[in-house]
Amino acid sequence: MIVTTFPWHWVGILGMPRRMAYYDYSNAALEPMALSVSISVVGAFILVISAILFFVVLLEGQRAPRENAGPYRFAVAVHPPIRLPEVKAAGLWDAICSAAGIARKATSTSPVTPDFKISSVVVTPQMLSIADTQSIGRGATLAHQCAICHGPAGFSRADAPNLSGQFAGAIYKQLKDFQSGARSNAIMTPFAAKLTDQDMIDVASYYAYLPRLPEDRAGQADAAPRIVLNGAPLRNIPPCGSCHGSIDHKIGSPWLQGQPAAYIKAQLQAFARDERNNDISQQMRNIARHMTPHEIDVAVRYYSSLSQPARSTGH
Amino acid sequence: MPIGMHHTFADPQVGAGFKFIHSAFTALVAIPTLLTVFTICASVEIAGRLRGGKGPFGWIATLPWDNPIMLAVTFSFIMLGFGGAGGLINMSYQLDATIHNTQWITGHFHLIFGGAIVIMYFAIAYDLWPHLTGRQLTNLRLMRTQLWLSA
Repeated sequence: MIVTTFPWHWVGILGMPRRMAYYDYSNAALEPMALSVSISVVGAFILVISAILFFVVLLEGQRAPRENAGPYRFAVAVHPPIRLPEVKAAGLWDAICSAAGIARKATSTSPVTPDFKISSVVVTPQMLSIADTQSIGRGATLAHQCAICHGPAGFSRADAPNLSGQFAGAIYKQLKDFQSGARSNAIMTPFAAKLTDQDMIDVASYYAYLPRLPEDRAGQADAAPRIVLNGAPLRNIPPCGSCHGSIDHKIGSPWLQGQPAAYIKAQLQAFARDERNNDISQQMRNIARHMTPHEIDVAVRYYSSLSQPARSTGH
Repeated sequence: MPIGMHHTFADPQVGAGFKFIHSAFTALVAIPTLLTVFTICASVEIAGRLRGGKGPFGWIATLPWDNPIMLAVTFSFIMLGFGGAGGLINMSYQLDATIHNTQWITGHFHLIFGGAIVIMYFAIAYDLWPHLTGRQLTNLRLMRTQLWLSA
């Protein structure tokens, strides 16, 4: 086809019109085109041979024995086929409108209220960010009643969370939730019921003031697993470490390094089963529901591995 | 996309504004074409490197050249490249005046359709034929000869 068409382009530039039935190449003005046109004709004959060979190939194939050629590969699904759930037209229309940004009348039905109490704590970036020494002192006194489970220095030997060095905002939020009933626990709920708002701020400030597990223990810990470093993006699971430490911290979420394994695991399972639901915007419930048991174990092992030395030396 | 007026750039009855719009839209056809050619070439390069090809051009040698479909795709892209380059002149409102209604147009059309497209029809026929007849096509050498002559 190249042999045929390239000279055509050339004679076109020289001015030869399309659809000519007859062209007198003996004319001196048209003579230079004769060679190009001849090459085109040669190309055309090559194409005729090619077309004949095409049928030869197909006819030759008829001599082969008949056999099952298998499914045609372009007809086989590359990915396993998915059956979409039945979509209602009205819902589809709503989805298209909302995707296109078309305002629609608000629904007249009242919003569904959950059958459990939700957390009412307002978490802000500035929350308890400035530690007041008087508050820390009062907190130290109040914390005596916490010591039996959470340890005198904030390191628990009863699989309760280690509070030493925990973020004040995280402790304060949980105490508020225990008091309001958003989170419930046979031991913590009665303790929190008696506390005033200032008491909670004091206790939280005190524990935040205590030192964390020594940093060098981080070096002894196992290499951070995938779920901690990367999460599982395809299941909408962000990395644990992006909120709970080891990569970054987000306000309101607890520092997990060095927490007891039994505690972390119980909380993840409670989130997954909707037994604990004081997380903001269902963040942890959505994450825990999609975590596999193996991922839970790996994350628990990683975060709790830092607490072992502290417990054996009996802080 | 409306591009049909690129056939009538020399017709005085068609408004110049419409001609300009259709010229611009015709030029935009180059974008999806380039994307297609780029992605297929990139896929082929990845396959060539997975087969052990090294260096800027070494991967080309490792491609399955005894497979007629490989040959057909290559010829198709070469002819599409030349045809596309010539097409830029047809598309241009000004340059079109030089070649309007000449054998250039015949050459361009046959290079694109009779070359780039029909050679893929051949390749598809070779691929599909055994599934229609239940008989294997085994003469790969003759197929390659046919494709060489066709290109």
